Formats: sequence, C-alpha cells, structure tokens
Amino acid sequence: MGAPLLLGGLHSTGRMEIIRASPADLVRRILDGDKSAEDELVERYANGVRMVICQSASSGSIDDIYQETFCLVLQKIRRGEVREPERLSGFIVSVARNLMIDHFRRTSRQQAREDPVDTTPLYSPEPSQLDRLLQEQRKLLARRVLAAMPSERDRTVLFRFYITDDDKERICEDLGLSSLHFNQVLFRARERFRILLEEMNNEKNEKKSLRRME
Amino acid sequence: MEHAQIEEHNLIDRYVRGTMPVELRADFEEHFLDCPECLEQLKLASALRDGLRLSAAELAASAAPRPDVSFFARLRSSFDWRWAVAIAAACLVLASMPTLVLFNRLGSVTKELSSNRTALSAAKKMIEGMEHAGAAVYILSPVRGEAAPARIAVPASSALTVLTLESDFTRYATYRATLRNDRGQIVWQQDQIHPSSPDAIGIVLAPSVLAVPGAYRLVVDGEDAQGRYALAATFSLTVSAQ
Repeated sequence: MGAPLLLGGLHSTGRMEIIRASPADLVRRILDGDKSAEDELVERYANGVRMVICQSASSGSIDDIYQETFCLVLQKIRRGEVREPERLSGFIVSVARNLMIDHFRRTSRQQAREDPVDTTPLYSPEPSQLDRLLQEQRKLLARRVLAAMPSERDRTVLFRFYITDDDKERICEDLGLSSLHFNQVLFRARERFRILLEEMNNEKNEKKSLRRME
Repeated sequence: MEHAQIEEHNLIDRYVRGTMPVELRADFEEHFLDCPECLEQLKLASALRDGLRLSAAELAASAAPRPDVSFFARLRSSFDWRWAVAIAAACLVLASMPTLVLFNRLGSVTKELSSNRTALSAAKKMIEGMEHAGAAVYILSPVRGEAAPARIAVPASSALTVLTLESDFTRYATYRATLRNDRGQIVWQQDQIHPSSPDAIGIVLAPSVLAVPGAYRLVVDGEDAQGRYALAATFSLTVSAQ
C-alpha cells in the first residue's frame, strides 16, 4: 500500500471538495498494514472523539482517555475485531465510552483507598495563557452576538436557553414563539458567532502580516 | 441519523447542554463523529454557551455588596468609567506618536475602539436582559463555625437567581458547585466553573432550582490536575418565598 488515497472533485465554484474514503475502506487498508490509513483515521475522528470525551470526563483526564481510545481502536482494527466496518464511528464511540466508564471506576476506587481524613487540597496548575485567551475571546464574542440580536425577545431566548438552562418548550410558551422561530434564533446566533470568530482570526492574521512588513 | 431530525429536535444544543436522552445520545455521537458539519455546529454552540455563561458569571461576580446602590447601576457606571479611561489612554498614545506611525496605527486603534464600544454595548444589553428577566442577585460568604445561614427571600416573579460566592478561589483552576436541599438531595450541580476573580465565583440558577422554601447547602469543590475534587468552601442559605 502506498501514499494516502485522496479523492477529490472540482465544484462549479472552483472549490475543491475532498471526497473521503468510506469507513470500511479505512478499516480494510489498516488491516492490510497501511500506516497512512491509521494516520487518516486519527485525523478524521480526532475532533469528534475529543468532543465526546469532553462532555463527560474531567479536564485532567481528557488527554489520557483520548490517547487510550485511539490506541485501543487501532489495536482492535489490526486484530480484525471490527464486525461492522461501515459503522466505524459507532465502534470508536463505544470504545471511548467504555474507557471513560473504566476511568471513572478506577478513579473512584483510588479515592476510596486513600485516607478519607486527609483532605489537604492538591494544587492544580493555573489555566494556561491559551486557555485564558480562549475564555476572553469567547466572552467578547458572546457579548457581540447578544448585541447583534435583532430583538429583545431573541436576546431573552439566548439568555434563558444557554445561561439559565430553561427548557425550549417553556421558553416558547412564555415568549409566544413557534418551535421554528426558536430554532432560527439559535441557528442565527451560532452563525453570527462563527462569522465574528472568523473576522477576529482574520484581523489577527492581518496584524501579524503588518508587523512582519514593519 | 438525518440532518432534518437533528435540526428539528435541536440535537446540537441538547447535546451541548447535556440534556439529551442516553439512547438518542449514542446515535447522535455515532453520527457527528463522521459529520464535519455537525461537529462544527457543536463546537460553535459549545463555545457560544461557554462565552455567555462566563460573561453572565463575570457580570454577577463583579457586583460589590452595597445594599443602597443597585447592582446593575453600579455595573453600568463601572463600564462607563472603563470606557472613558480607554478613550483617554488611546488619545494619549496617539498624541505621543510620530505622524507617520500614527497614520499606520490609526486604523487598527479605531478598530479596537470600535470593538470595545460594541463589547460595552453588548454588556449593557446583557445587564438589561438580566434586569428584564427579573434577576435577583445575592452575595454569599462561606460558612465558618456556627454562623447563621444567609437568608434569601426569592421573589415570586424572579426569573433567575444570581449567587456571587465570596471565598479564596485561587487554589484551583476550575470548581464544581453542588446545591443540596435539607434532605441532602442534589437539586443543582455544575462542573467546570471558572472563578470570575480570585475571590469570587458567580453562578446563575434557573427559577425552578430555589422554588421550594427551606434550608440549602452549597458546596464548592476545587478540581485538581488529576480530576479529583477537594472541598474549597461551603455556603448555607435559607430560602423563603416572598
């Protein structure tokens, strides 16, 4: 097996669309010993696996579970333990979930073994500069999204749904909104957030280029 | 899983909020793991939710405990003051620069000022939103010895309750807050809380959380690098209907 297979098609807009190999094809290539297929698998599922783990695991254990997941997935594929290669993503999710459960069991057993009287807090490192920067960026963009909402009602929807965790049905009932309008408000807010994020990143890149020119 | 179903049932937001039923969750995770569009929407929704919550908590925690002045009015004046200083500082910097450099920088400074103005306006609107939603704001100090619990009279019309917890929150990067009723049942819990300042955490509670009058205990645990929790502060409060 040679280099990674990259299939593509040219859109009418001139943009290249990458056509990804099927999951079954990835599994088959890994079984054939194609190392590049293993890299492709990790690249393809990395963000999704991280998202799944972040939903349940504590921040200190995310990286460990993430690494373990891909190690185990690749081992199992190499050993031919994937029964339905077309449902590779389901297989990866189940491996990640089992590792999370296992991690929680190990952690709680470890906690139970430790001296319950000793409650001396262990110091954890401060959030990194990057974490702080991302937090600041999110706060700023979220405020801009709120400011850009066309009406007070739409702002209230965001406020109640994302901050006070109210149910959709209750918000719709209180504000006299249809389900469709509610969905549109959330979608518009996310889109606005995406555009602002892109604008912010472009500004940063422009500033970097200007500094280089100076 | 179809995108129409995902959109119709708000699966993106339900997943991010952690309110998706387990059986649906497995199917959705299997779908988005191989769906760049859904993954992108999940990231955006998660970042937007984080940003809104961080902003709300920061605004709530920056309130000083002065009963005679309203929380929102103080926040407004604080933002106005910062804005005035920002303009003054920007003018000073601009005036001291040589003309050539000034022209080069003028554009970017104007942009920054413009974005500050937008952020300021958004913050004001958020505060107005909190006022509009009938937010009730309380400041709690940790329990020491046999101190009496803080008494909270929750207004019937209150849409949400904002609690500013005062303690030393410099030991850990993130905290978990757990609210229990007088029977020891957990009525509310939130992980991954970032302190708004070294000595304050702001939390926002939905109206249903403190709907039942009685005694409550709010425990804040710090999370260490290994993901273990250790007690950081305990707060007691008694809720009475107003």
